[in-house]
Amino acid sequence: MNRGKYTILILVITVSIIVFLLLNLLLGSVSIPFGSVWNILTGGEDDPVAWQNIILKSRLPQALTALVAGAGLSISGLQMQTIFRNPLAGPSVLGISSGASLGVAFVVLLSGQLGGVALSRLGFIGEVALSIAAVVGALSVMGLIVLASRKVAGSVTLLIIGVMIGYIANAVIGVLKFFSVEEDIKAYVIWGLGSFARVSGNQMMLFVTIMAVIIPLSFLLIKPLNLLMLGDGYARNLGLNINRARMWVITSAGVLTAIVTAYCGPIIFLGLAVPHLCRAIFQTSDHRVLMPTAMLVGASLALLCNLIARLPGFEGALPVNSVTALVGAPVVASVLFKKRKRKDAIEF
Amino acid sequence: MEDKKQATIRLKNLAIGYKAKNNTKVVASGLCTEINSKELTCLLGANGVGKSTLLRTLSAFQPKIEGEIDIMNREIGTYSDKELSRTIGVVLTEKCDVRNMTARELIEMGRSPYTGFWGTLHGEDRKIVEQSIALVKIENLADRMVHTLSDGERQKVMIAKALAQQTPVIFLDEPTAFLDFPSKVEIMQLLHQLTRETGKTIFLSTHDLELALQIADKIWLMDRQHGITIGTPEDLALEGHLSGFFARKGIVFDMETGLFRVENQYSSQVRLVGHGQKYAMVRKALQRNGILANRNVVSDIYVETGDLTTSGFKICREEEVIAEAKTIEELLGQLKENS
Repeated sequence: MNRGKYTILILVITVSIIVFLLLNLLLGSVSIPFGSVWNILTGGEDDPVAWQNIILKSRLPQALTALVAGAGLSISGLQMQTIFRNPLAGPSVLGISSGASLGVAFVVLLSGQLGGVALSRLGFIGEVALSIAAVVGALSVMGLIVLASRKVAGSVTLLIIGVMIGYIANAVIGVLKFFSVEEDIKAYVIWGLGSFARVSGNQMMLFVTIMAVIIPLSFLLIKPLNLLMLGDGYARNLGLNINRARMWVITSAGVLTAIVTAYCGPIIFLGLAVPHLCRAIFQTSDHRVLMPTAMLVGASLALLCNLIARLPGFEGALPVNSVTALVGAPVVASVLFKKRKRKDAIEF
Repeated sequence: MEDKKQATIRLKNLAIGYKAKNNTKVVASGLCTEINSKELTCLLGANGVGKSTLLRTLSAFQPKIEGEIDIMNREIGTYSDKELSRTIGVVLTEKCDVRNMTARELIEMGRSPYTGFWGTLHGEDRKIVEQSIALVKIENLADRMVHTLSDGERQKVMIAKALAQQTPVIFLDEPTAFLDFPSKVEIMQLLHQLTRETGKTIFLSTHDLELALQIADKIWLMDRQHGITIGTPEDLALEGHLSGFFARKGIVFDMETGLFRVENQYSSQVRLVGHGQKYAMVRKALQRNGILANRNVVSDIYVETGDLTTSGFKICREEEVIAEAKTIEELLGQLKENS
């Protein structure tokens, strides 16, 4: 595929992001005309305060959260798939999102038991506590994995250790659930469904800022990722320090997953599917192409999913995770299926 | 280019093996030898004697147990990762399982030790990649996806990758395994030719004994009892190392050709008259069927094989032709009737 075709495709994806972003601001249970939306965004104050609140405090933060989260998860998924050379790897594969869930479970489920207050009633403080708990949980699991990555030789061993840590986390969550009151369990389950709408105002600014720093940093790993694709032996012979490269890739993917999970809950599917979609569209394994495009496609797809979850009629009732899977899975499957058929025809 | 070969790799009292916490398994020890530039050196040995361990140790993939490995007059331990990647190129047995990557892109990866932070190729890099492709003669494969290539084609791509790496030394771990016979010959000849054209030091392990004996400049024989025996295939033959090394029931070392052949049990013998290709073929066919056949044996009847200018074969007794055959198959049948 030549450069011109790449440019056109990237342009199309970028335009789709802009369109979906605008639609996210425009569509919702309250209909606000385009002119007013534009006015509010550019700082005009003539429109009803209610509309201003809806746009600036609800729709805009939600859209930006979706955009950044989609980008982050897709990059994380791509990195995981490359270092584990496993098409089924995704951001959740190393138990990092299970770690986040465990952190949240501790806070949500134990607060009722120990403090006598259901966290779900605490509002803003509860929200911050959840984010912190999730980050702490996710990063401690990631720390364990990074430690393990220095000791064990094979990527497969590491993958199994990650999956095992995930099981342990889920087991502990199960025990916590068993001893918790119904109200808290419900709060925990809702957190687990994932949502881009949970992040509000100041938190959104913090989230977007953190991600705006980490995502460009993850691009520094493009050359090591390209080398790792060849297998450990060849990568090493070409001058790559395998253990160090692996540690940085896990750290990068882990931090991206941890932060997104802390703010949005465990978002499934995007991180697994977007890298496949990018490989199918661009027909390359070169991370110099895949990293930026995974970021763009991820952002676009997350915005689309958020849009569908909020379509008039659903009234925000659909959890994002249901949409990502229900809408995205068939799309990705059909793209891969078409590709596969064409390739096999050539191969045999 | 200088015409003289030089010792690029020197082993001094090298011991290889695996170090665990409290026990060290030595696979081979006391290795003192050299590997020369402009030569194709083949490492032969049964499975499990440590061919891969030796190759892995020489490429610094695993630590040596004791002794010295000097590459280009420098101890291997003093090389940084980057320097090593510009000194030794490898072709491994592990299959490079990448999808959606063209052969050229894979060969371009060979330039990684020289490219900058993002791995961007410059004019000079592209030129070297094209030269590597041309040396291996895979211009027609360069734009194919790697996962659509056959094993032999993929092996050539990996060799081109090693060439693009521009290292004075190339190690290959069983590059001819899993290939069909023509591809095996092609790969070995290609490597031999590369030692002459580029002056590189090429060292490989293989199980293809026949090919190695015909194409290699130096043979390393590795086994448990004797450690490593080194020499040209011909010297090893004359000194009796080869016959001793592979001595098994049913295999004999043919001193005349310097190659191995299957040993036959003979129940009778027949004299052959003739020369050239037809003589050799008849002899081969008869010996496979348990009849010792050559110019020197004595027998009542004899076979006139003629040469490529005559047609058919004659079975004679005392200057008199008693039967004629068009093909060797017919000849075999008639010999059975007449004896």
